Amino acid sequence: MSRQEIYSPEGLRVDGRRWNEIRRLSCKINTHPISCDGSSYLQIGNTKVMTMVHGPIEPKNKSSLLQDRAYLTVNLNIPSFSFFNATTNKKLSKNSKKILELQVSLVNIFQDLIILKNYPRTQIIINTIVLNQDGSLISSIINSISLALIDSGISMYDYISSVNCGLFNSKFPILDLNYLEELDLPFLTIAIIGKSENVSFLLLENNLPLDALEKILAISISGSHRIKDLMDNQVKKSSKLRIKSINEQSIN
Amino acid sequence: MVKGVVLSRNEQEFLLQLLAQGKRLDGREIEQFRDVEIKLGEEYGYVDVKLGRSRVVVRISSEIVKPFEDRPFEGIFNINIELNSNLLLFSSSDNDELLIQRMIEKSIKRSNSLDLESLCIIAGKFCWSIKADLHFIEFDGNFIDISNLAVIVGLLHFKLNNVTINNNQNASGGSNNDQQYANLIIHPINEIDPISLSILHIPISITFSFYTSTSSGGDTGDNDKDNDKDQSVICLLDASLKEEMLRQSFLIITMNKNKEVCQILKNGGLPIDALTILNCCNRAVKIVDELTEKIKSTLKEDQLRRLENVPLDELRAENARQTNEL
Repeated sequence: MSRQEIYSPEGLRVDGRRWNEIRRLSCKINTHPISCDGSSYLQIGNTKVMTMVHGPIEPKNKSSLLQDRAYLTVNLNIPSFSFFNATTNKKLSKNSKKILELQVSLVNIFQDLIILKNYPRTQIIINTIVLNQDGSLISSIINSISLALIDSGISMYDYISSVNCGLFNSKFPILDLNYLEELDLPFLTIAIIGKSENVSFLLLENNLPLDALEKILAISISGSHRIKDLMDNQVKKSSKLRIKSINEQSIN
Repeated sequence: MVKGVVLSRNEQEFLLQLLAQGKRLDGREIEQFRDVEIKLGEEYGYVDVKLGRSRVVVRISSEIVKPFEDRPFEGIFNINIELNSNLLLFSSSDNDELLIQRMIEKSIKRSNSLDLESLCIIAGKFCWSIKADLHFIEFDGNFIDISNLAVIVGLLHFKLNNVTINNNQNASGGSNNDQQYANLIIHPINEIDPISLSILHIPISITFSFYTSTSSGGDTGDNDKDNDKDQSVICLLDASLKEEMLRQSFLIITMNKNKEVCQILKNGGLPIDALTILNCCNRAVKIVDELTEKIKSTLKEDQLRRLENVPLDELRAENARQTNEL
């Protein structure tokens, strides 16, 4: 069996990137201006995620009403068409527990990022749909939600940006893994608040030598900063466009 | 993690002030693990672990089943958790149960600690299915660490019945399931010594809880958050129930003696500096070493105790027999 080389001696990866390069990141905000309060579409490599934020709205059931802050819910939808593997259906049914766990994590992450006490007695609903999976799923979901929340105008402390980072041959860290690399390498997913080094979310599920942890953390933090810059550029660009169109409308 | 019961504001402030002074309610140091007490039962695979006042009982059981079709060479390992809702302070929500279960699965299953392939008897037909049943008897915080510890000790202690495959009947066997079962001879423990499971490494999870020194309970206000950067974060080891109710975020690290990190989870909450996380990992190494030693010595004691009653001299095969006779 000919095995694909994850990281060639020349320093190139399966898709021709270097070790510290992230895939092409393109994102849009305000993709669904009418149907929801904030929306985003994020694509990194072949991973595509769409998020819609509703709220702050009146809670749908009164039991979830909190007197001092907003109630946050995250719905994660990972349809089977998002994944090309033949065993998709099986994978998903196995993963249902994993999806639940992920939803709990996402609520926990954004609970402390959003200034919930500004919106007492309301509910904020985040709906995320994964359109295509090709590695770094969790980090794309986090990035996408972050963008959608910014679009919705809900007050937050800062951006949250996330990336994953793997380790090849217990020596070489590799940033932003795609699906093939994720299968073979131990990797961690990290979420960083703004431009700081404060870790909000950290997930490692495979065995990794402790000595390598420091290196991986450092690289993934700088990777997250890079992603934050890219997202920030896009937000600024689209807000300029929006201001321009508003101005034009008012002139007319 | 714990919902339903709320500490009074006085109690909250008292606890947090204590923590800011580097003291704890039960007189421990900030980074002191509670005493672990491991009791092994008469039967193989029954373990009773106490961590301070928390107590959990684990029972490992096994049966022979058909392996999953996509993994014919592997056995099955399941974890079943029962959170007793009668535990007064602890109104269990589904999330907690899910978290423990996923945590143990990650640290023992995904880290390949239990060698599933060794559980295979006949590929595609028979394998051992190992089940770990967890019961919480008393709950005083830190249930992830204690349940992880209990399950891994249980697995180390458990022994499988010896099985031989009877090949003679195999020819007449056919595809009938009953007859196939007849081909396996399961030896009772008193006939042939049972075999231990093959555990490749001992993962041990350590939970750190984080607090900021000036926060008034669960909700961090606007100003608190801004000041956070200058403020020191208190990092607590092995939180008790009350401390657990107040914590602002937590970090679970699972490691083994070989300095291999099996799993890390920091599930949102208060953001923690990356350096602090690295420090925690390094601190965990020491505790993992201690606990591994403790587990090993306990298991050894148990083994010696079991051997006391066995008339070893009579069982010995190396008597004055001539080698030619063999």
